[in-house]
Amino acid sequence: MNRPCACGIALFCGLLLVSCGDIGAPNRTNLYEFRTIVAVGDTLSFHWPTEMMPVTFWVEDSLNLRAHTDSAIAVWQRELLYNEFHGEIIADSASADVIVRAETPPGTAVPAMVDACQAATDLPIDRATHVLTLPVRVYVEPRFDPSLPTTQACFATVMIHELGHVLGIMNHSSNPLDIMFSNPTVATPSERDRNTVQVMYHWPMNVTITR
Amino acid sequence: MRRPFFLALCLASGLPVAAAAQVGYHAGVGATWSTDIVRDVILVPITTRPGIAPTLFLGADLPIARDYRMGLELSAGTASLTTRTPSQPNSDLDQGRITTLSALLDLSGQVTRGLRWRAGLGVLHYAGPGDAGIFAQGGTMRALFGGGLDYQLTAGRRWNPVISARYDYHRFSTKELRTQGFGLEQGVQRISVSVGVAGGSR
Repeated sequence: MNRPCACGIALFCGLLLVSCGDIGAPNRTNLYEFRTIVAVGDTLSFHWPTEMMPVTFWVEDSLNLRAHTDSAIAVWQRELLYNEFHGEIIADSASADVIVRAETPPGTAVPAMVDACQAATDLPIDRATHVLTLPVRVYVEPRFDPSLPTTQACFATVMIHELGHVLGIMNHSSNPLDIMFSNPTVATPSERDRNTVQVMYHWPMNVTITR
Repeated sequence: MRRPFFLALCLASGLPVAAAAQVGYHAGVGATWSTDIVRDVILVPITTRPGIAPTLFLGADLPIARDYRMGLELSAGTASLTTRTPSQPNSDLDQGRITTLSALLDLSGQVTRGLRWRAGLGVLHYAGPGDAGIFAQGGTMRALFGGGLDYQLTAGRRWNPVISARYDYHRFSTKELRTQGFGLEQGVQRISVSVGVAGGSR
């Protein structure tokens, strides 16, 4: 065998050996509870399944909510590394999976409050049957003048928070540095928020979706 | 048309004009298979891999010594990108399409009549959908090591049919993957086969 041929084979074998190295994936252990505990040994875990993508949103044409919803969808899409979630705003409210309205949250919902606004999400899952009946509803309400920059900034924050619930995070984080803290003080998802939503989208779901 | 163009190229690059007459060309179309570009674990293993990519190859080379030639080979391919969870059937996630462009500076030599080996170093550029996913912060340029074989079916004509096989290796990562905490790079191997023509001086 001549020298170039031997060198080529040696190089090929060497490359095969070094090619085994993996990419050093993050461990994603720093996260918070995203499921609802119904009873001892019974939890609800939900995320939008692949076959339902894109999840459709109808947004009331008020308070600049469309822009805030669009932005919040993009924020969560980027947190999910493998396109597990894809949302889009549509014009027909009757066929939407999620309805976003500028109105007072119903008494049953626990609102997320920032100084200038409040919002809540109604994820209607029957705890006995584990059935989610669409549409999911998001309520956003200003507490100050909605045209003020602080109120608009508040809408941006609470929309990301509420879309976290829409995606399937059914609890609040206990850490004020997370966007899913009950009264969010940060403008973007944290590493813990990202870890939580990434794990959630690969966690076995036990909720059935109906309309 | 081709000769004046190449003469101009040789003059511009300082290459002796006499060498222009010794230039060999090759072009081909084929398909490229790749191993996973990301192997992740979120509860269970998750893999992201390009599909079979239709690929275009273009190359030129010059003799540098008896039996040896030095050349440049360019390739361009496009493929779908899919994330799979092997333990969960029907879990494929479409990541859109990626485009790869490579340039490989290589050395080649004759093995037997009609059969040549080729090995070299170069760069490989990945471009992908930029709104989300592993290319959310843009594409990436990677160092590339590669080699292969060319088998020329006939000789003596102006253009002769060639069957080629290529292997290359690079380490993959993107800015988005590093931002998301991926600390290393994924070893990626690609294999291509193509059919084409070779011409000029061989």
